Amino acid sequence: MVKKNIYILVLTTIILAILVACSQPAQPEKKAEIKTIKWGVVCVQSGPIAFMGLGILRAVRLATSNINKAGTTGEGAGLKVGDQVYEIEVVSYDDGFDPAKSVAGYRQLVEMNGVKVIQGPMGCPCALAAMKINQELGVITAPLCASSNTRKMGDKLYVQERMPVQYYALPLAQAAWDRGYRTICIVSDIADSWSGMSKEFKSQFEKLGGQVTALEIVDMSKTTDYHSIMTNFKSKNPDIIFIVMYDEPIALAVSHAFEVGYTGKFMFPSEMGPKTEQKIGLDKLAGSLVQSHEWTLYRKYPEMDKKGAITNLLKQWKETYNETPPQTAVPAFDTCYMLARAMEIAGTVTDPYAIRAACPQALQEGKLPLLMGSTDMLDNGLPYGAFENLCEIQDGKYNIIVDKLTVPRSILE
Amino acid sequence: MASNEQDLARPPLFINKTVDTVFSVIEFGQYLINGISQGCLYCLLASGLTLMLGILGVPNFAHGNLYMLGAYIAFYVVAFFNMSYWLSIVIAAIILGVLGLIIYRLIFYPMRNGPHANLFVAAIALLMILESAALLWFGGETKWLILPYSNDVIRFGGMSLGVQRLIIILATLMVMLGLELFIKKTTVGAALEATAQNREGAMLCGIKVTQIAAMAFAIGTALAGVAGVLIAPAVMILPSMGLGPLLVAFSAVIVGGMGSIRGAVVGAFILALVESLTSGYISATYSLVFVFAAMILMLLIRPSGLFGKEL
Repeated sequence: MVKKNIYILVLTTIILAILVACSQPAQPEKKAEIKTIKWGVVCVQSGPIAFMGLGILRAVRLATSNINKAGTTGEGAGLKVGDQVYEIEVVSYDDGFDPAKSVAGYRQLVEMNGVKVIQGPMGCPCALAAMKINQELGVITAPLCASSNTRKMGDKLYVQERMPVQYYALPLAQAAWDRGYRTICIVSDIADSWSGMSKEFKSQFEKLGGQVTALEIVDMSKTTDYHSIMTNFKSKNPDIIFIVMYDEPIALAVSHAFEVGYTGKFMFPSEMGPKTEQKIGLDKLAGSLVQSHEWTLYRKYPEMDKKGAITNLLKQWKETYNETPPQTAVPAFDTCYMLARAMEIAGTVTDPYAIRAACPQALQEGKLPLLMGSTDMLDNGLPYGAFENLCEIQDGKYNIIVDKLTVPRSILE
Repeated sequence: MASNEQDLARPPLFINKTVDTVFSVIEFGQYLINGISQGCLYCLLASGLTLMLGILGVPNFAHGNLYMLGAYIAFYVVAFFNMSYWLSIVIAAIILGVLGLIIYRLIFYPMRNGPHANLFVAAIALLMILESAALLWFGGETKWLILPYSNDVIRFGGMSLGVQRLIIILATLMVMLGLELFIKKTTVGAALEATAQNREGAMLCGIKVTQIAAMAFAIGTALAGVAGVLIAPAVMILPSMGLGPLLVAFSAVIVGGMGSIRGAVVGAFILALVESLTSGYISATYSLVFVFAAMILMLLIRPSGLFGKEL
């Protein structure tokens, strides 16, 4: 009996001990303090093209705010490197579209703010100037430059925000040929990117058997009168006029073409914003071709956006800035996510070479809420996988006629 | 389109120069129309410039920015206040006329007896101040003034003219006719022209040069404002839009002879036609080169300009 009581006592003691042990309040987990990292943006924020530079800055602010709230992949607030959580703070510099100021901006953000990543500058002259010093400063550069020259610099800390336009010359020439166009007149901006694209297009189109009956290169930032160019083009009676410029100068050139009596079709290598569409009137552009990203379509037809990422951005942008984002915003938004995720994968926020090396994986995993849809980052800094569409305007609407303007990877590498 | 169909669609040919190079009357006519409509703008700018140049003796570098302000006034009057475009011409002329008076009284009048270099520097400073102020007030974004007839085109004999371009031509004709009548038929106008052509001579004749100079400034800036309103529906409205037209207008003043309104008008049309024809027949890339080459050529032949006094 005594033996049995002892047994019960021991068992009770053990159970009590277990219960006591289990009921012990947990030691407070030592939560890592949230640190802040600074994220640089150098872009034009004043002058005639300020709206494009501000598009980059605002996109980065929006993307970093989203990351601070929900993380890069939506798995909790902040940027996570190991156990450490970081909040991103954006610091910016207005370079006024001046390469010398871009360089000054890079130096200031690195030396005074200690940034390891700078998005921008915008424009090839500024980008090329910044790329002369970014490696020396030990900072990743993510400029927005539509020329292919940046990839030839051998910069190990370079990532391009968007694939340069001139690579689309080949599929565009093919698409124009396939649509039955045999004679084309081209007016192009003098910028390296656009003039490179128009020359490449001419070469490809002529290889296919087509004829470029006129090629005019102008400075779109200074040209205010396209009447005589369009009169000359009209006299050559082309199947189509290719206007190789940005959004708003396109509107000016097209309206002057109408004024001299041209009633034919156009081809544009750039999305048209709401103001351009209003100025020209889409109903007057029946049969014209527009190279565009899905962004253009979803902006007009949100019901087409099955993934919803672009519609969300447009909504968030409207709520935050009360306007529609310019085309520069979309690639800047994606690049910000890619670089933040690359920091998480690389396990560092301070080693730019490790962060750059992790960029391809950040895109390949497919976890980021990207808008452009790039799937890889090439060694030379070009993004890959986010191809653009070719739309035809009919009845005042955009209709996709080439789903993806495919650019062979071998050309990019 | 088959090539024979293309050939049928081509405008009628006048002379076959070579197999590749053909001369089309319609094409040439279109270049003339383009040149005349552009020349009207240069004419309004150059007339104002020549008045100021004759009186001050220094070019008003800010003249292009006054033209830019005219375009912004048209934009805000029509797009923001929903007022008539025609009314914006009057409003811009009044606002810029008053602004011209203020600029003259505050900047150029106090410096009138100082070294010429001061006036040059003041004019350049004014150019920068006005452009920066426009950036601050209106922002860097492009603005479009879209009117109901913005894209309407009149076609005649195979040629075309945008309705806004026609308005520019007619309005310029009216303004220049009014200016001509004012100068030729009124005593004040005659005093204005006399002062513009020879300041010292005018003073000797008892003309109150200070008052006349202020009036010249007001008229000159008002003309720039009217030009800005007229071009506003046909271009991108930007703080930097005045520089290009200003350069050609300056050249027109030099070609026409400094201080001569008639010379400025003729010079404006000559250079606009050179620009239009060379853009079409040679290359738009180099059209301004031909414009300035024409100016230099003219100066070599006639150093004082077409209507200037012989040196």
